[in-house]
Amino acid sequence: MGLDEATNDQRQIKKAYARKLKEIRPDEDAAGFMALRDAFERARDYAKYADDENGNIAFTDMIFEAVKDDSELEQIAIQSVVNVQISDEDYPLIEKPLGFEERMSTRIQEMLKNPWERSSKSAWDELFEDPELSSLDAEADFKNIMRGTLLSYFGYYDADGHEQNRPRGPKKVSSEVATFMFDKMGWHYPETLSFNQQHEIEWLRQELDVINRDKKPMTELYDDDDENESIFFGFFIVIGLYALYQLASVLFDK
Amino acid sequence: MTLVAIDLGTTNSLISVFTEEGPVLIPNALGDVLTPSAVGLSNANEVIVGAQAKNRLVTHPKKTFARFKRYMGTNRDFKLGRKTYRAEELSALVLRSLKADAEKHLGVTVTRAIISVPAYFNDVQRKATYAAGKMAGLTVERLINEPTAAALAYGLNSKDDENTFIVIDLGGGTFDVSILEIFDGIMEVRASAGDAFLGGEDFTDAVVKEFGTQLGPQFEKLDAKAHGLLRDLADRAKVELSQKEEVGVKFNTGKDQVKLTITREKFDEVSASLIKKLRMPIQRAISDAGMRAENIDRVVLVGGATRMPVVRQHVTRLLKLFPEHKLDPDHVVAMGAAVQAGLVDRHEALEDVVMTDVCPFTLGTEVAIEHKSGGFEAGHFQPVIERNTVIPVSRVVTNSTVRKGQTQIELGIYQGEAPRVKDNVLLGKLNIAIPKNPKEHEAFDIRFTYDVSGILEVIVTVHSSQKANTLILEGNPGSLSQAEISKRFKELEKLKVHPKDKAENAAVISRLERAYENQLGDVRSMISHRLVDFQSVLEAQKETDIELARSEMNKWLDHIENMDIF
Repeated sequence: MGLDEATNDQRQIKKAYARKLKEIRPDEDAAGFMALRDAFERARDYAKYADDENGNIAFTDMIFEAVKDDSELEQIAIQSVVNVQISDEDYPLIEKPLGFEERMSTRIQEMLKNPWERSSKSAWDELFEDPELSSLDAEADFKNIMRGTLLSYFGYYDADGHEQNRPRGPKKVSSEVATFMFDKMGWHYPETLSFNQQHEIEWLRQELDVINRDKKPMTELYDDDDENESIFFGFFIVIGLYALYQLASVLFDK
Repeated sequence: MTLVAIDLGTTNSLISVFTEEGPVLIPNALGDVLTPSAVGLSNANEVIVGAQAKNRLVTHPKKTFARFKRYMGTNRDFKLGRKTYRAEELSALVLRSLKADAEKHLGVTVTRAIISVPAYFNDVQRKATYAAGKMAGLTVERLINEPTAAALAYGLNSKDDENTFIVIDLGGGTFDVSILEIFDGIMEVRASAGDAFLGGEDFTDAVVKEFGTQLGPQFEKLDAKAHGLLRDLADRAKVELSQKEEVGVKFNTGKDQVKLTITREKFDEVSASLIKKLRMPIQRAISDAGMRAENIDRVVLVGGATRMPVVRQHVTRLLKLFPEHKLDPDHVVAMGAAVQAGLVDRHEALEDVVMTDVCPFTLGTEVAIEHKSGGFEAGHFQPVIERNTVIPVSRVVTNSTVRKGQTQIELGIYQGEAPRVKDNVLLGKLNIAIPKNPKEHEAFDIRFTYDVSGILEVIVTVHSSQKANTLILEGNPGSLSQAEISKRFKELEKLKVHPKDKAENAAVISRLERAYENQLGDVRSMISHRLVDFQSVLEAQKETDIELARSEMNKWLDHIENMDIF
């Protein structure tokens, strides 16, 4: 197939998928499309990760299962597995302004060492609102650095880091400040993070005694006129209290 | 049979078709392609829709409604005259008006439609949109996500290039973000995210609040009419602020005329909290697509609210890319939806284009998890279809009963990303009978199927009996049953609608009345004279005279209205 360069594989798989997709349209043949899509996603993933025969065998099986008549897609996929190399198209190497990570990590460490700064919300806020963090990529990088720095500073990577009842030193960051950090970093509901990262955040939450924030479910936003209800119930509560008072006074009179 | 495409917006709605020349927008009776999504009753108790109703929001706030899209699929009632309506019914009236415009323009009956919805609309809201279509006498062939439609409109021109772009759609009431990849004629949505409660209307509210602060204690005492007027002025001031650094308005409080001003700086300040809300969905869409912001080639802005400089600046800062605005942000969704109509009808101009979309949120069920001690804890969320999976998709999970001999399960279906169901959105509850088996835990399969329109079907199969229960999610507080939909359709049919051919004249009258509300002194009496003049021209019934008077009046009104905003 003339696949000399490994980086071409992703593109070849996409091309084959595109050709096939024009015959199997998602709105006309839902089942066919689901099979094709499954094959495509797995081909893509295998081309990305597979580095031994296992990947090859599994992928071939999968192709036979899913798109039995599609020898073309299969060929390409096998080729791509043979020429395995992790493509940087979908998972590009992280490029940052030079020294960003070191600079930020040093800055966070210095703040943590300084007793006045580490317990000052406004000092942290100044760091979080740094104009250098305004782009999305910079912000995402910063959150990673922040997480990593906190984890290492508070001993996550130490030998006993995961033990439940290990001795802890005096609290260096109050739970209020830690909660503020969690607010700013969006860690109360770390849904977008990977499983490992969520685990790390959970560890930090316990270590720093972060106060849990309840997220409002979306449905609550529908109702504008809730006050009436509380007035309504309040009314009953008042009546109830009054009845109790009456009852008590009768009893005490006796 | 013609297939039309409808952008049913919070603020404005549009209707379009796909032709040989590509997507074409259809003008309404007033010659505009934008029909305000407003519904009201005229003085003769006839239903009016569009610009005329929007003007009457100021003069007759109790007999007119707008912004009801936000309440689709909820039990909120809107009282119009003697009857109450649901958001679906008001939307149906807008749809019916658009349908009539299209029929007049195309000269054929229109019964099939594609309607665009915010990507972040949930299952209940999507079904409500279907219901609205049905009540308007339309068969809704497909729902299309708004940012996807926008991308279709932009992507059609560059379908042969390899491109990744982000569509940022800030409409009147909703905010959507989608990441799209185009290759070999395939338009693939990689990820969608959004906020169903953020839009241009919130920015208008921020301006109203600012004006309220300037008015001081007087603001609390304003009646509904004055509020409507103030909101109208605030909206126009907001639009004007996109061009100018400072905008003033003359507001008639009922007693006197007050001058209120707002600078762009102040506007940026009062809308800062709204601007902040833009960030998270953009971030999430990018990370869900497995990308970084730097991988994105193009930024496309959609929705009238993206005209605001503060929104543009913020997006540019976040993505370090300058947004494109080749197409009118108000028209893009309707044009893209027309492309989708062309695709559904397999129009030959679109032979080699295929589009795939995703399910923007995680769908799953409630499960109980067993403790080490042996007890069960209910209320956990079990994802079945993960967010940003390409659709159509079908996924299955196998669960078993908590107790032996259990004869019934109540299955809660939820949408959301939180590990506990209480933090997610309940889509519906299903009761399933289980054959009694005192010896074992009964196992059952739960299959979720999510179709190209974003409608969810749940099938539960009990292993031992192999009996499949196909379940339609009903009984949610917000959704209507089929019988109820057809009943409401018949009721809407009976409503008297203001005749279309008089719409242009009625719009002028409602515009004059609105202007009258906001003026004092000489101008006010001038307007009332003009109103009498215009009505007498109408009574003479000479078409040429009416046309002349109408255009003159509109010109004069432009001038008068410009005096409000300076």
